[in-house]
Amino acid sequence: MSIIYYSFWGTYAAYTMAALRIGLYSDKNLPTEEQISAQYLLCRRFADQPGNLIYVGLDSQYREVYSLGCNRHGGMIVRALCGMNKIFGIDSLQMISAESLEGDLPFLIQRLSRLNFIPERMLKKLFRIWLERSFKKCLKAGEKKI
Amino acid sequence: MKLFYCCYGGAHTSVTCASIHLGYLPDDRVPEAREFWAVPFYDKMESSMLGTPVYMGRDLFGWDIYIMGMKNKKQLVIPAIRSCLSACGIDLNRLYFVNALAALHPATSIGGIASRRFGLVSLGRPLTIWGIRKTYFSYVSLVKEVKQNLKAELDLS
Repeated sequence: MSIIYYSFWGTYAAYTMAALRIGLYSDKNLPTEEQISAQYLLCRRFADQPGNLIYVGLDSQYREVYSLGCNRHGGMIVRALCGMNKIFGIDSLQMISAESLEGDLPFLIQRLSRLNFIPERMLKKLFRIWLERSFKKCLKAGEKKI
Repeated sequence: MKLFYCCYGGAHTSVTCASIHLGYLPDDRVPEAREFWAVPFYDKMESSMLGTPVYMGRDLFGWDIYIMGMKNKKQLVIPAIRSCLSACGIDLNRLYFVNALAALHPATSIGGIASRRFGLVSLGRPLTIWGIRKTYFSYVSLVKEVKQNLKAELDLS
């Protein structure tokens, strides 16, 4: 059994929900400074590579948890993956949307990160603001889905 | 083994290529318009079904032939499929994706938009057929090339 969280970028809300699912992030407190830095780096490196599955870990029931960036084509990718699962007889894939939890800030961060003159600490600050705003939403959505 | 002919809407060029591959359409002459109307799934894929692989049949080599519409996002959908199947332990050498948009005539494109997006089937469908008939032998060449590659693959294995 595998679980895939998907969103526009795959490294913001989808990854946060996946990290909550596997217990990497505590469901009581915000992630630590180290964890925030690690996710920020993940966003910088992999947010612009949609379509590549990111392995996050195993949940409490030993199910593999992934995150996936789908841009605005989540529906099409879900249909493609579900269709492939039927063809190859894989019946153990669950896809959970985190698209509505992402918001606009990740777009700004990704756009700004392409401009070389924007200082890294400013981008990181923006990322932290996004995480602080979205963490509770992800937590709430995760509770509903579990 | 699975082979997927991919195009924008999964309704015209991929269906044509899959039909040539499976012998539903001839490879030695340009088919009549009515022959296209008889092809299963021709100009049928709804926008809400984009991404769904549709089974067209099994060829002489024993390969299962499918069609798929991926908009212009092949570089997004194919890696997602491959990485997901790989994670599930599926041998990726068992599937092939072929771009069926290789010889797209503008009339087919316009007809496809008219028929699939705006629901003007009586206007759009004949236009798609007209465009495909204009470049029909490009699709035949593509399918022949694919078949040669499949045969070579079978010989090697």
